Amino acid sequence: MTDAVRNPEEKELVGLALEGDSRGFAGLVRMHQRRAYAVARAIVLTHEDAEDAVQEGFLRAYQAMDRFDPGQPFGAWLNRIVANAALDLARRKKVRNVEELSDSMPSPFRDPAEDDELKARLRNALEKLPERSRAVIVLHDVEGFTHAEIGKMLGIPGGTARSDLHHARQKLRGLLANLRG
Amino acid sequence: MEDQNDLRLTDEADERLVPLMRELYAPPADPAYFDGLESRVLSLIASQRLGIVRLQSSLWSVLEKWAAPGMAAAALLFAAAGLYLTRATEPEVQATYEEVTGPSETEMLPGAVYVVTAPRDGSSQREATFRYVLSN
Repeated sequence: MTDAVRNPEEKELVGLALEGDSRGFAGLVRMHQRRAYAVARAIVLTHEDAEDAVQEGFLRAYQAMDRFDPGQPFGAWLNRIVANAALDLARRKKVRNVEELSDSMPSPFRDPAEDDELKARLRNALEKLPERSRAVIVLHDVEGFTHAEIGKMLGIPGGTARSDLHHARQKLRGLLANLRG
Repeated sequence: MEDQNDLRLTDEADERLVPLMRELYAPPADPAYFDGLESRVLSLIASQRLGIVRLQSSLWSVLEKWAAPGMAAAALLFAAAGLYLTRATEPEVQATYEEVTGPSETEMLPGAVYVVTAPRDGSSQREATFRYVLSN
């Protein structure tokens, strides 16, 4: 799951993007957008917010291309930017929701076919987790990122990501138990 | 149904929850979605880039028009300020000189005789000081 090993195509695209060739950055968008979506989706509550965070993340990356070290994997750098954009968005949404909708949650993207009770309860429990806890669980258990990679993305040490994962699982367990009762 | 609701987790990822989480967090399966997302991202970047370019070009064109008159005005201002400062400091130097070499108010007692020692005749400062000492 790590993109520490650079592929030649990415290297070429980064080179083009640094030279100001728009085809370079377009290729990087195409190559990394699915992963970027997964990172954003792990942090925010809805599909729509994930898409907004991805767009914002790519825009920030484009504006910061002159500060990108071509010796580093582009995906890891981009994921960190996207994670930051998603965290910013989640915080803004949280403030707005507290101000406008004190006791209601934003309606997440719903799969029309979803009627499974367990899945619905799990989603409910995950929505109740703080965004960092939710992000750590989803990025690790669903997306397969390592503690170190998650730490880099969220701006915390790898050891903190590991202990966050432990506490997040405990919290999720508690929430599911409460929901069951 | 009971075993489906048994949601106890160990410290490791729960084997039954992970597939469910994958479903919940799965990206849209339709490839067209990502084609559209790519277009939206690139459009956003293009619009921002155009905005920056337009702002920069308009800013530079305005600055370019004002560059030559601005330089001329700055040079004139610099010359005027230099002239003013030179003239303004001349009387000040003279006043300071007279203040030092002239008699102080405490010396101007009734009946006292004082000598004007300022070297207005072109004599040196040393001579003026000498005459002052002799007169007191």
